Order: sequence, then C-alpha cells, then structure tokens
Amino acid sequence: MVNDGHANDYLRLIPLFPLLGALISGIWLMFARKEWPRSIVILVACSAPIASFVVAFSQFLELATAKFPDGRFFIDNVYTWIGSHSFQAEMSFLFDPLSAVMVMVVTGVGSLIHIYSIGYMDDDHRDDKGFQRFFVYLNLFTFSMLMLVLGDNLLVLFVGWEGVGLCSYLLIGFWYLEDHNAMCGQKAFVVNRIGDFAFLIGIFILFWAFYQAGHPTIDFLEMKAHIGELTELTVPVPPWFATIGLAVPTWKLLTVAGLCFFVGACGKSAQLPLYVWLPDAMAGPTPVSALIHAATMVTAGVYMVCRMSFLYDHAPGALSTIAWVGGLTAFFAATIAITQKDIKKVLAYSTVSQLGYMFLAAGMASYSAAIFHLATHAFFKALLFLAAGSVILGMHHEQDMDKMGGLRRKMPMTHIVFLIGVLAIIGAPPLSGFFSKDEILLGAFLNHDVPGAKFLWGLALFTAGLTSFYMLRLYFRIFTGPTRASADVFSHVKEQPAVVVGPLVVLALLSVFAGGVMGFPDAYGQWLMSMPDSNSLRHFLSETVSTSEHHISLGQELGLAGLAVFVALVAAGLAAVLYFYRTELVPGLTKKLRHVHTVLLNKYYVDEFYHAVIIKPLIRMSDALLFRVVDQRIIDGAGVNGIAKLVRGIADNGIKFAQTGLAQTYVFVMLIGGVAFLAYLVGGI
Amino acid sequence: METSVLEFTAPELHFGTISPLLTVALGAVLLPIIEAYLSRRKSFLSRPVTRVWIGFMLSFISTIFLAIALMLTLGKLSVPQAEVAFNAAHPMIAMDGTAHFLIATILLSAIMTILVSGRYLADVGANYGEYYALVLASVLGMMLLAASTNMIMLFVSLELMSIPIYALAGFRRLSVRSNESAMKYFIIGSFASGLMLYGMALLYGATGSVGLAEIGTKFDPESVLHLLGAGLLLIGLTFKIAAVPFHQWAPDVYEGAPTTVSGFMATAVKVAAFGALFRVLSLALQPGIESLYGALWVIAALSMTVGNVMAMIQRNVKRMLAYSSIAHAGYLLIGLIVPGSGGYSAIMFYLLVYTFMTIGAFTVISVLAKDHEDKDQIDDLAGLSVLRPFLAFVMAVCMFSLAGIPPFAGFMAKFQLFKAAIQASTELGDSSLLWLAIIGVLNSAVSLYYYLRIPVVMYMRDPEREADPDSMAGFERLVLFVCAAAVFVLGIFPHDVFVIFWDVDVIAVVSEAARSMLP
Amino acid sequence: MPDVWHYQMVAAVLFMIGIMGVLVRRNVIVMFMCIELMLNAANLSLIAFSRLWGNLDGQIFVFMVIIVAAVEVAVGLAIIIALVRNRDTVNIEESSLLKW
Repeated sequence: MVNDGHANDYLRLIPLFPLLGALISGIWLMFARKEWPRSIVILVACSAPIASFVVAFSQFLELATAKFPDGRFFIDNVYTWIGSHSFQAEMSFLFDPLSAVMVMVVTGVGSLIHIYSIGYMDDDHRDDKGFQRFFVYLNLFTFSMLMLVLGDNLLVLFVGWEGVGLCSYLLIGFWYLEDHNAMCGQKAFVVNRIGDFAFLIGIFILFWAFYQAGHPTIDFLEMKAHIGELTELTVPVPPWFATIGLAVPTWKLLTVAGLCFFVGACGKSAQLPLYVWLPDAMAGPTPVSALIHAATMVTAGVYMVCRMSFLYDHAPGALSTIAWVGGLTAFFAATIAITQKDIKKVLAYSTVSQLGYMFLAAGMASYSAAIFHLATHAFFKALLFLAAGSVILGMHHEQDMDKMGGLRRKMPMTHIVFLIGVLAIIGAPPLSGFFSKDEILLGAFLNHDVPGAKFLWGLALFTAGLTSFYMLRLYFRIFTGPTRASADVFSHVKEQPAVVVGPLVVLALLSVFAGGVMGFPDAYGQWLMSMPDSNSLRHFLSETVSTSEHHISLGQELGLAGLAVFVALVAAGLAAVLYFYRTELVPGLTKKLRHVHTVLLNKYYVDEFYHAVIIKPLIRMSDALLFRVVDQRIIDGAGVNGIAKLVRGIADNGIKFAQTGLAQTYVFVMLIGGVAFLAYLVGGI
Repeated sequence: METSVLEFTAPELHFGTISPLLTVALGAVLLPIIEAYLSRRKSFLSRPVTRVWIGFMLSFISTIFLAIALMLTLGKLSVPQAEVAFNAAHPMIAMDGTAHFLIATILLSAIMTILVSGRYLADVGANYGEYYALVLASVLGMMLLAASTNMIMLFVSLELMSIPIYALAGFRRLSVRSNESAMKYFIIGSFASGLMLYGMALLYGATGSVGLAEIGTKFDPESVLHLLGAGLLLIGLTFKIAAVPFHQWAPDVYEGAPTTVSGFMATAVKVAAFGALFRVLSLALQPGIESLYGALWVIAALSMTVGNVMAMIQRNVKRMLAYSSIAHAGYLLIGLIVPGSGGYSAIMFYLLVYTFMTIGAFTVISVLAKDHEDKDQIDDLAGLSVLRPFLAFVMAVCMFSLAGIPPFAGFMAKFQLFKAAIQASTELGDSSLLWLAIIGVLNSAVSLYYYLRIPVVMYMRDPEREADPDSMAGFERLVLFVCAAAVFVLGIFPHDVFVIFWDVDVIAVVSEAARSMLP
Repeated sequence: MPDVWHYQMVAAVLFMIGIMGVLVRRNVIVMFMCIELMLNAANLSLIAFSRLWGNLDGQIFVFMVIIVAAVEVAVGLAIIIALVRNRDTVNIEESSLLKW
C-alpha cells in the first residue's frame, strides 16, 4: 500500500535516538553499581532528542517542499508487527503535516527541557542513581511520545499512549521516598487507566466496525479512505432486549466509538471529569511538569482527536460533546486557578483550562486552531513552568506564593521571560497566544453545528478574562511588592546559571514570535501584506485535517479580536489593582466572598466528592468482598495455592517415586510404555 | 535384484552440497592430531603450553570449523529445494531447506556450547582435549541424522550422535555423579537403539527396502509387521527427544553430566531427533499416519503434563531444566501431529528459540560453577541479582521465555505451535488437536510456577554468600548476551530479524524450509 | 526345509532374551552383553530378510551395525571402567545417586 513517493526510511531514526539513549543508559543502570559521570549522562541523554530534532527538521523541510500528487505524507514501514490473516498491524510511522507539527514541538521543546534539566537536577545528590535515572525516564518519555505522534495505526499510537502514561507515572513519583509523591504518581496512573480503558474499547469498536464493512484495518490512511462506508452502522442490540420489553435507542457506531476515544482523551488530557490527576502531578520535578504535564503528553488527547478527525466528521454528536466538555473545563479550571497559592498548582489548573480551549476548538471542528493553540501553548506554558522552576530553585524549593514577592530585581532574566509567558497566555497582541486564542474564539463564534455554540463562545471569552486575572495575580505575587519571604532565604536568592536561563530565552522568543509566524490570520495578511494565505499552519494542516473555510470580513475579525483583548485588559486591570496598587483590599474582598473563596480554594471539593462516592465504597467492597473472600479464600486459597499444593503433593508423594534412580526401572517403564504404544498401534486400527 | 553384485557404479559426489558435513568431519578428525601436536611442545607462539591454554586453543579451532560449516549452511538456506548429495535414485540424505535449517540450529548450539566449555572444564578439573573432538563427531552425527532419508544412514548417524555424547556425559571422570550419568545414558540409550534397530529390521523385512521414501510407497497400515516395525522405530526416536514414557533417563543424565554438555544434549540432540522424526513420519509412515497420530497425541499430552508436574518439585536447576525439556518435547510433539507443513515450520521455529533460551540457562549455571563444584541448586541462586546482575538478568530472561511470557521468543514460538494446531483443528473439524492445544496452554500456566521461582529467588531473596570475583570469560559473556538478545529479537521481530547485514523473516524461512521437505 | 520365518523366530527369541537380560541382571557388563544380543538378533533378522528380498541392503546394514556395535563396546567399557575406578563395583543398583 506504500507508494514509492511516500516511503521514507529516515523517519524511524526519530524515535530511535531517544530509545537508544534510554536503553544504553538504562541497561547500564540495571547492571552497574554506580552511575556514569554526570558529563557522560548529559552527553548521551541530551544528544538523543537533539538528534531527533535535526532529523525531524530535515524531514519537515522535505515534507513541506516536496510535490505529492495524492496527499502530503511520508510513511516508513519498519516491519510487520502482528500478522494474522485478517488482521495486520505494521510497525510503521506516518509523517504528515499533523504529525510533523507535533514531532517538531515534541523534539524541539523536549530538547530545550533536557538541557534545562541539567541545571535543575544538578543539586539532586541522593545516592539512588537519581540523576541518570531521571534522564533515562526523560529519554524514554520522548521515545514514547514520538511513537504516539508518529504511529501510523491505532496500535502503535496506543503503545506510545501507554508508554507516556508509564513515564509520567515514573516521573511524578520520581522522588519516591516521600509518600506523597508516590501517591500522586499512583493517582495519575489510576485515573489514566480509566481513560485508557475507554480508548481501548474505542479501538475494538472501530476495528470491529471496519471488519463488518469488509476492511479489517486500524491503519489511519486506510480507515480514512473507508470511513464513509461505516456511517450507517449502528450498535447492535441483543434480540432478547426487545423480548423483555427494553426499548433501546439506536446508537450510531461511529458516535459511540468517537465518545470512547474522547473519554480516553479526557483521561490523558485532564478534562472534566478526569482532570483530578494533573494538579497532583506537580509533585514531580519541574522540568517534568513542563515537558510532560504542560507541553506534550497532556496534549496527546488533542492530537488524537485531530488525528481521528475523519471519524469525528461523521460523528457530530461526539463532536458537540467534545466542544461542551472542553468549554466547561476551560471555565471550571480557570475559576479554581484564581485562588490557588502553590505556583505550580496555578500553572497546572491553567494547563487544564488551556487544554479545554483546545478541545473546544476541536469540538467546533476547527482542528487546525486546536493544533495551533497546542503548539503555542507548548511554548509559553513550558516557558512559564521552567521560569517557575527557576524561581523555585532560587527560593530553595519553596512553591508557596505567599512566601514570595519582590523577586524582580533578584532574578531579572527570569522575571522578563516570565512576564513574556504571562503576556503570551493572556493573549496580548502580537504574542503567540493572541493569534491562537483568537482563532479558537473565531471558530466558536462562526460555528453553527454545535448546539449552544454562541454560549460556549461567550464562556470562552469570559474564561480569557479569568486567565488574564489569575496569571497576572501570579506574576504580581511572585515578582512585585515587598517580599514575604524570610530575610535569610531572600538574601540568598540569585539568578540561575546559563544552562537554566538559556532554554528560557529560546522559549521566550518562540512565545513571542511563533504565533505570528505560524498562524497570521488570512484576513490580516490580506490587509497588511496582501498575502491571501498568511496563515501557513492552517494551510499546511488542511491537507490532513478537514478545515472549514472562514468567510469573514476584516472588520469582524478585528472586532472579535478587539473584544477578546478588551476582556483581557479589564481583567488585567482588576488584577493590577488588587495585587499591585491596592493589595490591602484583598483580605476584605476575600472575607466578603468567603463562601465562594472557600469553595474555589478547595477546588469545588471534587477530590473529596470522588473520595466519598467512588473511592471509599470501592475500597470497602474490594477489601471486604473481593480481597478477603474472592481473592484470598477462593482464588488464592482454593484456586492457585490449592491446585499448586495438590499437584505438588501428587508429584512429591506419587510420581516422584517412579524416578527411582535405578537404570533398570527406567528400562522397565520404557518397555511397558513401548508395549502399550505398540499395542495401541496394532490393536487400535 | 535388478543390479548384479559385480556391477560397480561410482557414486556421484556433490561436494558443494555436503561441504558443511565435510568441514565438521575434517575438524573431528584433525582435532585429536592437533591436540597431540600441541601437547608435545613446550611452548607455542612464545606461550607456555598448559592444559588450560591447549583447551582454549582447541575450543578456538573447533569453533572455526563449526563457524565455517555454519556459514556454508546459511548460504544454502536461501535455496530451499533438495540438493542431491550422492545418488538421486537412492538418496541417503536430503539436503533440503529443512535439513539446512536444522543443521544451522545444531551448529549454533554446538558453537555456543564450545565457546562456554573452556573455562567450565578447567574449573571442574576436566580439561581434556578430546572433548572438542567428541563434540564435533557428535555434531556430524546430528547433521546427518537431521538429513537422513535412509534407515542405514538413520541408524549410523544416530549412533554417531549418541556414542560421543555417552562419553561426554561422563566427561568429569573423577565425579561419581558424572560416571553414573554416563552409565545410565549408555545402558538405556543402547537399549533404545536396540529396539529401534529391531524395528528397522522388521520394516525392512516388511517392505524390502531401506530408503524411507520407498518404504512409504509400500507401507501397509493394516499389517502387524509394518506397524510393529514403525512403532519400534518411533520408540527409538522419541527416546532421543525424551518424551514420556521414554523420558526417565533425562533428569538423571542432565543432572550428572557436565553442565555445558547438558545444555548441548537438551538442544542439539532434540533438534536432530526431530529432524529424523520429520523424515520418518512424512516419508516412510505417511500411509499409516492416521493411526500414529493417536499414539503421538497421548505421548505429547503425557510429556507436557509429567514434565511440568515433576519440574515443580525439583530443587536442582539442572534437573528442573531436564523436566522442563521433557515438557517442551511434549509441546513440540503437538506440531508433529498437525498435518501439512504448518506444524513442521512451527516446530523448527520453536527449536531455534528453544536452543537459545536453554543454552542461555545452562550457561548461567555453568558460569556459577566454582572450585570443582557445580552451584546448581535453586538456593545457590539466592540474591544473584545483587552478586552477578548480568547473570541474573539473562537467567530471568531465559526463564520468562521458557515459560512463554510475551514479548519473549518463547511466547512467539508457543503461539506459532498452538496456532498451527488450532487452525488445523478448525480446518479438519477435528477437536482432538484443539484439546491438545488446550492441554498445552494449561500446562504452560502450570509451568509458570517453577520457572518464575528462579527470578523470585534471584531478585527477591538476600544473597547467602559473599560476592565472588567475576570470573566470567569473554566468550561466556558473548554467548549469554547473544542468547538474551536472540530471545528478545525473535520474540519481538520474528518477521524481521536483523543479522549484521541481512534482514531475515525467520517465520518465512521456516515455513519455506518445512514446505521443501514435503513431497 | 526352514524358511525365512524360522530365522525370524530365532531372531525374535534372541531379542526377547536380550531384553529380559537387561531387565533382570544387575551386573553392568552382563547387561551390556545382553544389549549386544539384541543388536545381533536384529542382525540375524536383517540377514534373513535380505535373503528373502534378494537385495543387498540388509547385509550392508548388518556390516554397519557390527561396526557401530564395536564402537559402542569401546565407549561403553571405558565408561564402565571409569565407574569401577570410582565406585569399585559393577552392580548397577549401587549407583543411584541421581534420582527424584
């Protein structure tokens, strides 16, 4: 099925480098008693993503410039992974505009964060080979993430999907000696399992559906080609349902599959109601929070929805669900972020909120806007996290913003890049967040397919204001005003070394310029430079994901953008008043709004709710019934141990004595067996 | 009858076809001479001639011979149709794809055995040069056995394979256990050969010919004489693969023999004997195959069950591996009952995988030997992950693979076998094969109990002794690495094994090879 | 006039004697001789069948078997000598260290 023009053997190198890095370093760790000298660890670990980035970039240029008569993509068929007569899974990689953008983000941001980690992990002097272990996990994560975005079929994607989940678990609990960190890792893992389960079910349903239609495949391109034949399929209803009088509505199979996939995406990308793990995931080292829990892994859900856009185009019900969940999550998480005190928690809720934006865009079928925001968000959120990490390092692992303030002069570079990140996320023109958020709002405003699209647009606009408010609150509380830190700590705060600040500067530059370069709206392009296709990302992606044409005048575009900027400005002003000019107002306001404040501070009590309604009863039942009775008594007792004991008993007390050690016994047994064998042959004809 | 006794036609010799055989034969003949030459000198290449040094040189030289033979064989793997070796009308051996594949597997096993033998023999005080000549002679017998299509060749090559192994089993002359092991193997093995020979005599009497293909044309499954002959012949061969009820020698012999020899016996002998079983069943006994299937079914089910159950109560790793090899013989027999080439190709893949994982496990045990003593009790492995992490890792990989846990090769091999059985059973509408596969799967589950005990002991128990100095030789490290790597690679990419400069689809190679044998 | 089946009867009786000998004798050397008896029974059978079918395959086979038997004797006696040196006995029941 691979056309000659599309074959490209270089693609396999992209995931190969991080895999080799992880393997070489990891196998050493497994067998050796000591870790490598740090310089070698750094050399091996950091060269891997950089090499991947170089290969990816060269292939990206090739992809963007080459002429393809039938679709712009490269395929690298490495080997047949699973082959049975009706089902074929290749270990192959697909490099089309969508995965190209993702690969560039993953390897690019990944490389920067690898470099940053050298500085961040440098003061980790525990004797559990932690430094090298950290980089092994980081390389392994990069490999898994690249498998996820490069996979040419659902199975390879799923391998990457599980791989990043595993690495996330390992890295959240990286400092496993503290119970809290280990618990947070477990929480992330368990919540992700719920989503993964649904995702797997979705794969099964889809494969079954294609099998019904006579095209047993899980390959993206083939599925895309044949998806039209599945639109009429519905979920089969067992005939006995009707006989017992159960009326079941007919569900369209594609909608159900799409919803299953989306539940998987909810788990991975921390959407309602499965977002609870992400704030706790901040227990991991800060570079991990930046790479995995802001820039790349959590966006896997968004990527997957866009990758499956051919399916969602035929499942409008699922699409509307995505839009609503995304919009609500964006609003919901933003409200929580307003009251949090831990700076990483604020950023975590902000990530959840921004991911909500991306799903909102995907749900409105403007996939390119989702990917655009994904890319810009990767830059500015990684920047924010890394800058926060720099602050945390400077403050000697203090994360409570109540104990900060006034760091502007102490850490000037960090201050500047953090401010750039803040401006980018709140959508200040012409930073990157402005363009991407604008495109999402535009998509929502113009959409007519999703019920309540206008309401969602309003909600998103309001959320943009909230974003502006809590981000500026964060900024003011850390960098301005008199310090609230103890004098001893404050006097030791200083700017971080170049290995930490360098990546920050690169990310800051990307945050400023990437948006305008990638997605300068067509309307502006026509107006300012008379270029009708200045939104290069959108046109690039349009060959993979379906993009609806926006027919919109310059005035409308300017008006909408102006509205968004106005909302953000108002909120920013409010934040400035409260946290910069008149800080004495805050306690009074908090007191007046204390009911709301308490609810928000406690994150709507969602964790407590889950604990009381789901976890506690589950544990009770598991412990009392499943563990004590089913597992211990029945399975362990009667089943496994019982049978093992029985078999061992038979062997120990019976058959064993046939093995007397006397050669003649053996000859005799042989003879008896031989006679029986011959008798069977001769007599049993 | 048709040719007069006095008429002489010179045999056509195709040296290219039998070049691997000739290479090994040459090595087997030359090695004693080389040893005599080396041991008469005081120094060689300015090195003092010590026994250890001679042992090393001999192992090196025999590896070269085997490696040349392996290269020659691998070169022929891509030409799967049978090559004529002597006389096309009355072939003694058939050098077809099956033979080449099995010969390559045998040579691999022999090379790995020889590479790890040098240090082990020196360690247990049995560093005698004839070891290598014996191994090579035995390998020659195995190669012929895997290719033989004539009863005379079958018998001679079977004995050529077995007799050196009797001697190898007793190679630690001063060890009582090794003596006993050799003696038992010798007595019981000769007895089995006697049964087989009598069966051959009866078959010859019944059909008047010794060529397997000619026997096949005249075989009458209704006649008692024919069936008795066939049955006795099969008993002799199933004895060599240690299938129940002809298995009882195996645990005693494997436990007493030098560890490297046990590994060699468990793998190469089994490969060669399966080659002979392929020929006998597909050429000579094809007309009576229906009635044979039932008997083989029982043998397969018994082997799996008895092997696994008995392995559970062992405390000695070598003995446990012996019982596990009995169980694996049972799994392999499933493939023999599947009609057509599917079962044969699954068996060949299984044998290749089995060779790597078993040699790996035995090598780990042989590396642990110290001060003239085997450290082969399961308790000796306690805490190995701390003392010798690399050994523990390879052992764990081999155990997982033997147990058939994905992604290791053992899983892929079992999967191919059971798949072949289940496919055949659905195609033929015959549920007996399905039941055999079910028994196999259940037995695999049982086997987890004892295989996983080894990693548990190695990784979860504290070491009971001090860390030894790491005395592993480079060759041993190499072999262990190759075994572990092969177990991974064959498990994950059975369709795409990358060997230096080739890309090999092993599954395709074996199915091609299996097809080449069938008429 | 004896026909081929008479020879076969003799061969079968010899074979059974060999088997019984292996089963009941305790002396390793005698057991070994009984195994040789089994081989020779097969040889006799082969010769007789060779005469019956009128081709030489059986006789060639017998020569091969004789050679193999000779080799087996050499190796077998060596093994037995090694055993006697260590254990000072040829009674097979006394070597049963390896069991269970």
